[in-house]
Amino acid sequence: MIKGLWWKLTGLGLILYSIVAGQMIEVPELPVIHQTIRNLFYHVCMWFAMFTMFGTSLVYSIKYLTGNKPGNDIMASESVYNGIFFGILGLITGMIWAKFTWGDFWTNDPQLNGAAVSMMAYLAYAVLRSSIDEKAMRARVSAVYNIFAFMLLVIFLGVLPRLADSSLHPGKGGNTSTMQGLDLTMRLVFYPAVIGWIIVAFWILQIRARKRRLVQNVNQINK
Amino acid sequence: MVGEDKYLVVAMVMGIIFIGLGIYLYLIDRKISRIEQKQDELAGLNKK
Repeated sequence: MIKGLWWKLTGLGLILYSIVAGQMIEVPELPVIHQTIRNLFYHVCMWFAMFTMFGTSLVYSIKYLTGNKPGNDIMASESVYNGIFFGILGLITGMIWAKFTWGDFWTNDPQLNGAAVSMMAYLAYAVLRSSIDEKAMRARVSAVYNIFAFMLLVIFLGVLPRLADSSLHPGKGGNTSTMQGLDLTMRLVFYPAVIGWIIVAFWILQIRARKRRLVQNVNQINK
Repeated sequence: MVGEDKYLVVAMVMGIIFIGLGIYLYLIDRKISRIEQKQDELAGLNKK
């Protein structure tokens, strides 16, 4: 884990910059979405943070399966819980955006349904973990499941929406990508926002993992 | 001008909320560091 305060402050600073600049900059007048395009700086960043967390959990799950170190299991599971947190934030910000552009909180869109299915797959991970009492078995089974869950995430959020005939989301179902429509001013806010949220996601992960280790140590002492 | 003022208010409210969250994270981080330090000290004493 990275030590020191500098990277945490960098993350916070980048997000604060994106929050203020995201509201203050001039955005292109696009049909349908109009000023709601500003939500791009918040909504899309949640998905980037979520993907990074689930990717991290995949790496730690593989590391656990190859080395059987309990620390890797803690990191894998906490990454998943953190990813679920960011995924829920992504869903909420997306639903609010959808209400103001498409007129409904939830539409029958492959990207939306894919996001819901992926979140359910990861919620099932949490249920699976809580259903196994034996520590080593729980870690091993959930690590294997986590690898499958990540594959589902890639398929449901990365592949299927792109193959769909129609989608309301940009870059999906034959639509042009949002990134192609982003001007330089928006990119100067969007990229720092993504980096900032990913850094803060890692900070939250670090706090959660350290807390879990402390609790485990206390439990061991009490035994 | 009225529209720009609204954006400023939104930015300020969101900024204040986020600064609050940042401070909360920092305080938890510091608290955990202190407990970790104490635990290390206790583990050192037990070894002696």
